[in-house]
Amino acid sequence: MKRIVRNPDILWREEDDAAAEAAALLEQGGEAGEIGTAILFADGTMVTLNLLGTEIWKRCDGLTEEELVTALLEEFDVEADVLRHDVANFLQELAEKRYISYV
Amino acid sequence: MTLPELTTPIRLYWDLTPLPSAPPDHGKICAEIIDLKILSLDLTATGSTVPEACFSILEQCRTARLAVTLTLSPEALSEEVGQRLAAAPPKELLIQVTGPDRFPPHRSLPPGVDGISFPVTGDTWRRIPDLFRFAADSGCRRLVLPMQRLYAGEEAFYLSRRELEALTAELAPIPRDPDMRVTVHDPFLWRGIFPHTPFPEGRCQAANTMLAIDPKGVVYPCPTMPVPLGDLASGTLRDIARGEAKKELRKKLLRLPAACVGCVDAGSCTGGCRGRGEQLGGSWEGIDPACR
Repeated sequence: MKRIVRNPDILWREEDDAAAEAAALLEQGGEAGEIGTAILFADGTMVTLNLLGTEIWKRCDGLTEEELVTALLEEFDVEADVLRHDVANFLQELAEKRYISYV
Repeated sequence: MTLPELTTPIRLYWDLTPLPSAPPDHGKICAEIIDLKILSLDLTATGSTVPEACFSILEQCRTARLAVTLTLSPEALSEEVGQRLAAAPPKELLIQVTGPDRFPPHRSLPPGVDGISFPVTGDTWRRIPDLFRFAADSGCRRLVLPMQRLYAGEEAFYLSRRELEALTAELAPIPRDPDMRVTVHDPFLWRGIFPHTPFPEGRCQAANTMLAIDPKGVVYPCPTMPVPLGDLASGTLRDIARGEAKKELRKKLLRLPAACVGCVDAGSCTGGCRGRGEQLGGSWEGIDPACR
């Protein structure tokens, strides 16, 4: 199975304050999907990722898609099939934007 | 997700030259830039020689997750400079040229140079097509039309609609490498060069995704917005980036200028270049004259 790697030309960082806010909301049983916890920046275009997107993005460093899902399942309390579906969709979006590639 | 308002910027424009007689502490500033997790540093030193500070900054940034674009003058690019840059290379090396008479000879870029920075002014804008012809002939895939340094006293420049249309028409037949990357900060100039592509930066990003530092260490929202936010001789970049002056200014910039309310294009240009509008109109509520 092919491994996922980030495009090295994509500049990115986690937003610590926002990540803490999202984590606190989740802790309280709230919804944090709209909080941007990471920024991706390339050619003047900035994209923000929510908490799940950020966690997926951070793991795009040589894992296969299945390994990535397994790693996330260890951290998130979510149904495997739902997560697998979300991860696949998100990776497809990243690949279309050339933010990641498969090697 | 919508483009957020950031606590700290991701882009920093830092002009090193002209070096003042009492330069700021470059090492301290650079350490702060790295600490703040700035993603992109545009370092400009366009004197006839490269200041030592430039090399030390590059060395300091070498292991940081920070993409440095270095812009030098062609005169400064000696063999020795090339060797020293090889030890701590920037992600991107540009040379700043101001007209076709100053383009590199033999229609090719010097070794190690990634592209051209071409400051657009009232004197040089007619040469933009020459720049694109040079890029087509030389295989140059990186062009930057840098922001005007209004904080340095440059005269604000813009093109009329008729001039933009003329520019678009002259550029149209010039072939463009689909992989060429062109940076244009002026939303209206962008329209003249890329009439069919929306401006990627959206609204004015001064004091949000970007900040600028002048050679003396004074921090501005953007090189085109001569409103000082603080001085690194007496304060820290973190304090300035998170300070009230920046927040207050950003609030003003997030409001559409009164003169633009009701305009059908306001959704796409969101007031144009706010620094230029303020500089030429004397108010944050006025129209960017490039819109006329």
